[in-house]
Amino acid sequence: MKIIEPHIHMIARTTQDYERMARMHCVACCEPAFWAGYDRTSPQAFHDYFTHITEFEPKRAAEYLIDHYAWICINPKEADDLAFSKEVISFMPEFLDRANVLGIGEIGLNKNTKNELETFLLQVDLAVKRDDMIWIHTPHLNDKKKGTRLLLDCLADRSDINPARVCFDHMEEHVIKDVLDAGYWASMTIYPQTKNSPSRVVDTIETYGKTRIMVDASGDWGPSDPATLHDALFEMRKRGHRQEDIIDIFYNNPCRFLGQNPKFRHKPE
Amino acid sequence: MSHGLKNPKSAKELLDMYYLQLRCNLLEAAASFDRIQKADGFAEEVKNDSRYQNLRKSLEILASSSKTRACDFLNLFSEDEK
Ligand SMILES: [Zn+2]
Repeated sequence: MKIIEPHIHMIARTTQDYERMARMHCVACCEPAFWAGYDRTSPQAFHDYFTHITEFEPKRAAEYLIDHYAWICINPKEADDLAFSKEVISFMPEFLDRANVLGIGEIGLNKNTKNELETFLLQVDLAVKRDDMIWIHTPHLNDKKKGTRLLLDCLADRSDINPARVCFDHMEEHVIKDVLDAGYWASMTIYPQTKNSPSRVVDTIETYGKTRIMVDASGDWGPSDPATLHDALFEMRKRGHRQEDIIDIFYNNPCRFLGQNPKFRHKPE
Repeated sequence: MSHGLKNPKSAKELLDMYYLQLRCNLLEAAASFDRIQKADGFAEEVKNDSRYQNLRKSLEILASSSKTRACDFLNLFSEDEK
């Protein structure tokens, strides 16, 4: 069966990872814009980064028959300097119009500060103005519940947002229900230590079903591995779940969510 | 709200599947607590550390018969739940 990786930072991965993903039948991957491991020293550095994920990575992925898509934004970890954020936001439309870009993301919160929230809202406004989809990063560990609530609250007031075109990522057992109940998509990230494990992801699917749910490995510079996505798939098989449900979670649902942007060319089976 | 996907395995089958992994995870936790407690500075520096206290409190969640232990665990470690 084919699978789609809805969230991975290939800029941080080797070509060997593309090769492994291809061997594991991954046909498309999505790269949201994120922190570089250090704070960028100028808005121009973001311009270079956006160029990298919209020009170089699609070529590298194509060598392995993987379609590479990107999301563009100023990430929450570098969103605390408002003047800096506004400058980056000013040249985002040029990249949002590119052929492999699906929308604005991963925006959200890191330390739940006022300026982070303001930068988040500026980018939500841009998405509304352009009718772009949104990919949301929720904070890690202790801050996750508070940050997810904050994000849900500030989007709840807005009638100009269609929740079906917004995905909250890094969902875990204590936050996913509120996100699904509000009509958003929810993705679960599998990491070796933080976030989810393959078995907990399957537990959550058993609890909440497969509607508007995706799974990703969010591979980056930290402890992470594209293969954890496949570990979750195998976990579903080991528990005896039906193949059609497995295809829905790992292929059809990403097609359903991402396919709301006509640039995404894979279709549910 | 959609319905869940029923786990096709019985409780006995799941215990068979996860027994060794679960035993291993709990034993690792037991040994980690021993390791920290035996080391220098435990009483002075660690006993009152909120991270350590949360880890200890999480054992009560594990020992409970709640069916939402993973969720309860994450809530215990959430900033605004204090
Ligand atoms: Zn990410």
